[in-house]
Amino acid sequence: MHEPSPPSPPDHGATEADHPQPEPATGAVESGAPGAEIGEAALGQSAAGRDANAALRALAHTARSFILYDAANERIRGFLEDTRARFEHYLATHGEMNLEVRPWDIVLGGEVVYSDKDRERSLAFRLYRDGVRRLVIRPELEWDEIIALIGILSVRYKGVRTQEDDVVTLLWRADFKHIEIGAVEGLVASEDDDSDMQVPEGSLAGPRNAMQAMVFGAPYRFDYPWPSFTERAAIEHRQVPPSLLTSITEEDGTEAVPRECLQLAKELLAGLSDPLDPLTLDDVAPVLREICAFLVGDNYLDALLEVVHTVKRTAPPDEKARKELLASCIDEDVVRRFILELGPDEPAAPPALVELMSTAPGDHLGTLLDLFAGSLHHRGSPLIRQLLETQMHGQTARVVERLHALGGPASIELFRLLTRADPAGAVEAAVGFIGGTDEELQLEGLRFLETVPYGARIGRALVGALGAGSSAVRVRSLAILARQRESRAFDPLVERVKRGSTGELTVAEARAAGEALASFDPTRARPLFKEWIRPSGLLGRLAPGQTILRWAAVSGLAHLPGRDSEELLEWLSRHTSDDLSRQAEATLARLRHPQEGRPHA
Amino acid sequence: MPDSIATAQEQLGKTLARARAEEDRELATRVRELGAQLAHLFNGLLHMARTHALNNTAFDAPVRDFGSALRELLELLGPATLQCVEDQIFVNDLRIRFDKLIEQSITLGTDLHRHGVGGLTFNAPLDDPEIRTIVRLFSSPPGPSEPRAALQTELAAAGMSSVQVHPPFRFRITGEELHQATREFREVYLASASTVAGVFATLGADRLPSPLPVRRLVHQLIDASRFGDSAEVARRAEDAMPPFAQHTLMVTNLSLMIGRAAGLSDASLADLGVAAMFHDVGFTMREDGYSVPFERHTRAGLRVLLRQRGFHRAKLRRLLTVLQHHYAFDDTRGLPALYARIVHIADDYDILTRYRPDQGPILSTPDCLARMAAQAGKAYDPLLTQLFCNIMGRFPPGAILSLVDGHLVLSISTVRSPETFDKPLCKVIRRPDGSAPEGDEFLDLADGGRVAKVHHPQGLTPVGGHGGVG
Repeated sequence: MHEPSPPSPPDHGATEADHPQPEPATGAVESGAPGAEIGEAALGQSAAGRDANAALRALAHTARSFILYDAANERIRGFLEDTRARFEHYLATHGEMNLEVRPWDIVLGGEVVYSDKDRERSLAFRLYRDGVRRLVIRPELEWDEIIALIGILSVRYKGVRTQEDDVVTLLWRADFKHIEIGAVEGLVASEDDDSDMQVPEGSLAGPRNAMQAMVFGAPYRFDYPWPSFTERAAIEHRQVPPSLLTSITEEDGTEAVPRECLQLAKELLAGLSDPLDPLTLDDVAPVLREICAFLVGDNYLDALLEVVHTVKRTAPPDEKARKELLASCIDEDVVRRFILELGPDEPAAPPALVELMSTAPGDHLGTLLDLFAGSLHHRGSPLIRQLLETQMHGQTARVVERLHALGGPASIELFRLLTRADPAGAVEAAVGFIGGTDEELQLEGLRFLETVPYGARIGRALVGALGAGSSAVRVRSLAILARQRESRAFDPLVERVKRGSTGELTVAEARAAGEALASFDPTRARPLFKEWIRPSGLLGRLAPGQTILRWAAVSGLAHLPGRDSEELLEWLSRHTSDDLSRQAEATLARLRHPQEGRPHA
Repeated sequence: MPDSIATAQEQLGKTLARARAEEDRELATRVRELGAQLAHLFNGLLHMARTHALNNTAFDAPVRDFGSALRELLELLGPATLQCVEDQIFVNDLRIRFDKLIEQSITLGTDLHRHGVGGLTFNAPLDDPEIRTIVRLFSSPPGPSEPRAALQTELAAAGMSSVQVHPPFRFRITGEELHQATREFREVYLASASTVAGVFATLGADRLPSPLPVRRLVHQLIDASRFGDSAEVARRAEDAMPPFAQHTLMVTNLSLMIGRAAGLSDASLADLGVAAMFHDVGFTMREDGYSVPFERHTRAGLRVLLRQRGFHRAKLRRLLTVLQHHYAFDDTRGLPALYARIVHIADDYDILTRYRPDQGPILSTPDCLARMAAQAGKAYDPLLTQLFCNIMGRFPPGAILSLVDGHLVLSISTVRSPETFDKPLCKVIRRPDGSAPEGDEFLDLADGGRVAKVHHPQGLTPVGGHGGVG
């Protein structure tokens, strides 16, 4: 922390309210006097004072910001960078920062360098109230130490009241190397009156009530039976090599905690089946829940799974009890938290996670769908996609329900996952899509249906799609039906073409319909095409939509070689104009000389 | 260094998550509410007493509310201590926050200070007349001399010895009077007895465990023991303690010595110390009016500690210590947890060497250590056992030794250096001429003198076939 850095705060989208810029120096303000001024002031008469003020305000901002933002938030990142820059600048320029903490102010060398009368916001008040009276930050300050200090302050700003540590013990534990904390260690009698603190020998600690008397009177043989050892060994001083001591400190380290969690879980579960002094589910389940939550929070999935296996192995045979215990270990929330811990960039699901999901009760599919729908990061995550594929099978209806709710590209991505995870289920989903109104989903469904074995269910859906609102959907459906020579589609298609010929049917669609009809049933198609090209009655010749019908017939005749077809095409080429006439001629040419090329589709 | 920022964010996120995991929000909120209510009502009652007679009906409601809040606090916490420190008010370890307007009207600290009082501990519920008595005493002019002592006397006279008054407190600053640490160890150690008894009494009454007072105590023990021979100081301080506290504190002290020798950090030592303090907490439980038997005390202790909600690594290790501190090192169930292995050694050593009024100790300290050393790798962790031997020496404190020159001495020091492993500082019991010294007389075997014989402590009857070594 020796590099001076320009103390301009980086801009990470923070608003003025989030991160107010330094105001012009106003000089020292009077210490004390709550209510005199609310809000942090830019202070400092000297350069050191101003720099200390900037650093302390950055520290306060950062610690407070955890009230509003998650630790991973981009703004927190900005505040941390700013805090580091300002402390680096101060320490490199001015050396040690020796601060006296007062209820409302922080003082550097007699100069007030931080002041905020709002006790909820004030760093000074927070430190003072939590027992800090002096803060000395040395130039060798390390980044980890700033983070530890911010951590302690932010816990207090968040209002978390821990049972195990208060601020005094947290500071004591932190064991800072370059921050000296002049902090309260406890309460001592005032110097002018400490008579009661001198414990008179022989009169100490007498019981003050019946309950204490009970404890005081506890028999001193409570650890009976005494251990009985008959062998003796020589007592010698032996230097213990540091390598052996390392094994102990490792056992005491953070990495040992998962193993200890497992140890305790085993003890508790064994206690459940102890015939002499059994523990109850009420004893065990809450602490198992806490242990598992910790293992998830700190990403110890293997240890978590081992706990789960232990529960399965050793839990009482009573199914209800077993379920309750398992539920206290893992549920859908645990799974969710673990997935979030892994992050969206995780390339694949660890096998342990897959196993966990197969064991844990709860709606994992719902969890995954929520994550998938919740953010683009998760939608693109290979981890989420892989897990979704494992969970979708047999739950198509829920996926489809979510597909419809999602809409747009997310639906299509989810549908593609479904097609891989559960093709049979995806057919149902696709059939549903093409009966719907979302063109993108309909087309996606059709693309999928082209790839799966054709059947009556698909055929009915495709026939139904002939009445879809989208021309692209209708054409695509026709193409599939044509390839399948679906004779059951003949009449509906004829009806569709006749009805559509007067308006919505496009030439392209008419041509597709003609080809489809020829493939469905050539015998019935020939007279139909003849009628469409040379209607028998006057009304037919004058009917609207005649051109569209002829386009359909020309395309259909291309698939029905024979003299009749050629005569019809010749006649048409002479009696119509422009495109239709040219198309008839081209089709005729191909029918007569098939080796020159296939009819234009 | 963008990576260091990301790492810091992750670290801070976990710090907050852990703190939240450990939180028992419901309990803290309720205690804070009741504490604020108690302090506010007490403050108001003292204000009212300036202008109203105590039999005025205006007192009825606040007196009743005060009694009700106190009763509930006692249910939650056991003994409840209301302390005014500088400008802050605490209920037990919880600082009480008031609305700004209310805070400005709180003059409780000043009212108590007039009588030389900084706080009160309530050990039992109070009825309405008793509350009025307290209000009367505090609203009366203070006694001309030693007002606090006078107040305590009047409380006792009124049948309210369950209420204790404490002197004014101030915060102590880290590093302040560090040079007094050695002297303070004895005071800290002695004062610990009350804290231990208070915490255990609370637990015995089915209340929630609160490790914080014990943790603060352990911190003080760790700090104070840096500068002196805590084993011997502790042993000499025991006369003033009840048996339960003697054992609990000695096991804690010995465990901390082993932990320090093993290279544990201060933070870990604190966790170890708290675990050791609670290792026999199961004996506070009652079955048919009696303490639970040995066979069930670890399970009973577990149940007591499980009442504390929230995950904390210290709690995890505490639970394992309570459960496993009688497990052998080579137990078929697997290696016991580290703290349990440490406490096992400290516990057995204290049990075997503790002086019992009717029969003395079971073993002399050197014999005990020799027998325990023979169990290294079986009952005890061999590495930790060696560390313990390196601390205690060939003639641990409490050993009665005949020297070659005819002196009879008592070993009073642990090992000061590898060279003095078998040369402790001793207190003379009898001179070679048979005379006993009138005052304290010491012999440092490091300066000369050889041990001829190790005795059992005087008056000892051998127990259970262990026999003596003297």
